[in-house]
Amino acid sequence: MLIILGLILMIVIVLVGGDRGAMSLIALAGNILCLSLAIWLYAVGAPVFLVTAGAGILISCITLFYQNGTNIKTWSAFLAVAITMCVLFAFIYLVVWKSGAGGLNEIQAAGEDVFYYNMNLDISMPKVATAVIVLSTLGAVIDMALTVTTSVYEVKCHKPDIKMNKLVQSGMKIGKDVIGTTVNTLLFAYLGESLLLFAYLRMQNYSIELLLNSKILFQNCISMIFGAISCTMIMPVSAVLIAKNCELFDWMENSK
Amino acid sequence: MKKYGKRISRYLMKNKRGRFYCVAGVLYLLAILFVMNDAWLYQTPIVKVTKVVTIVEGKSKSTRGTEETKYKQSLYGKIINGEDKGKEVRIANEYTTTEMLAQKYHKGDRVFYKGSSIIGVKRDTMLVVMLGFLALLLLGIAGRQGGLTIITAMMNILIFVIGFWMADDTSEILSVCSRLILFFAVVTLVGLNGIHRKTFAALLTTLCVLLMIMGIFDLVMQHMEELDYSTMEYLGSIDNPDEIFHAEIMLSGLGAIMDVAVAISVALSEIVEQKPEVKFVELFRSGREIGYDIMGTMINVLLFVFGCGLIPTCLIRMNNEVRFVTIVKLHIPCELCRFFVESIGIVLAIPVSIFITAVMMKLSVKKREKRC
Repeated sequence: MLIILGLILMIVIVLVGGDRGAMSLIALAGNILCLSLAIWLYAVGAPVFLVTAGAGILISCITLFYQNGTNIKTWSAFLAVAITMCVLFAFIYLVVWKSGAGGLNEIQAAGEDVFYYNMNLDISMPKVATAVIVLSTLGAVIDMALTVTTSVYEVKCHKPDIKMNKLVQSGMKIGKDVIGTTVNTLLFAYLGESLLLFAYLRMQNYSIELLLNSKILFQNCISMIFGAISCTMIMPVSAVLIAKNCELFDWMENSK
Repeated sequence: MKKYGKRISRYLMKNKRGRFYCVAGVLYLLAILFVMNDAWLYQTPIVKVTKVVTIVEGKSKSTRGTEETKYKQSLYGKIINGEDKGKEVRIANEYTTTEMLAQKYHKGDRVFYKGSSIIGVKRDTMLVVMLGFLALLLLGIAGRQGGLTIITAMMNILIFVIGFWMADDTSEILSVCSRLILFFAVVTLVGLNGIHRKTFAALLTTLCVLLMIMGIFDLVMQHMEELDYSTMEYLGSIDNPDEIFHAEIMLSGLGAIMDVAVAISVALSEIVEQKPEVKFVELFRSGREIGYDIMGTMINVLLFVFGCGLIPTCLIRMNNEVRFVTIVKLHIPCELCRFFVESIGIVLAIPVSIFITAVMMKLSVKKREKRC
């Protein structure tokens, strides 16, 4: 079953995408490998935040530099992602810590796993929850950063003598066009994840006041909200960075 | 002080945008203040923790053989709502370093109290703070588009909640869901792009692709062994996992498929508008070029959303001597299957949307020519 679906996916990607499809297939495999490696490292008790940072950098490198080549666009996108994620990291940990959103949620805690498995892992679950949020927003953030930097670079190529603040503005304009669908993509991905959850909660006759304050809802909402926040924040950051980098590049060319 | 106030107010009188943001900011602060003090709305007693005494109770071995410390907390607090308002209570709490099932509490936390134990943390304040922050950020950075985004997202959530509240039980979830998806697609696409020919192209693409992936999924399901739904998370005692799984696939792939469809249809219609005499083959080529760029990243977005949700349960199992390969084989095939089907949908959306947009655009151009 799974093998057949996987094969279909591979064939379709190569058919539609050709060479670059194959490349994105390899990058996808690399990302899955990275994620698995990160999970394995968490499981053996490596420091959570260190592993998260490492995995994040590795994943960004694969997605940006392997898939899209090493150039001024991908470098700016990489820097923008790094800056935004560093700022948000602290923010996310604060929110998780303050609202006790780590660990298993109510439904998982009522499941069978709790009886079968020993729960004393000596791994801080609030930290793991932070890592989960950071990594799950990463895909969307990289996507957004690359969209902005690529289009700004395009504008710069067409009009080499354009002013810097004009460049930033054009980057923001592209970002604004994309943000709507990106936020909705994230929204639906999480709605789909929590569909079963809602069906289950309805059967259990959970009261609304407890549902609104439940850990399950909070975990899903907060991942979605932080995804959207980081996608919005990366817009100006990457627009400014690519514009600055273009200017720097020009200056270096001129001084030669 | 007065001078500054005057200057600010003069600025606001002049600047419409500034006034708008100011009102939004004030509303945000008011909303936070309201949820911070909304304990009177709740029926369950809420305790505000005023003092915490934490002691180390003992040490035990964790699953990897390292030391796991057990803590015991005595929480002193006051009930702040309901009949027992003002009553002092003392609650005992135990947790370990992992904080897997029980968590550590801090001074100032507000918790739900029932019997003599805590049944949950009051998280609504944080939720409102974050939601408001997101809304302000979207409005501030993306302006009008941000506003549209907020409105469509809110309407989608409303449709979702109403749809599932109306459905009496889970038995007809698939039919409810497929009707809802039509609403979702129309609201999102029209809300973000307005009523335009390219919107219809994107809508048609989305529906076609959804039908296609569900067809592929069912075809594969029929010819292969049954998927074992018992591994699905949160299963509980739901008696039709099959239908719910179908609904889940459609819903969580919808956003990504719409994204691809919009990107391609907008770009292609732009090209047709600039150059009405463009050839079909050329359109196809440039559509493919755009498709290359988004395909990989969209699949990545889904991969991270789906993969990261699995981390906590994976950690528990791997620490209890379940091997990683076994987890993939036995515990998460449903999730993997969903991911594969959705990715197929994303990739298929590229040629389908190129075809539909190109045909629709070309037809409209031809019609215009005839009229002339």
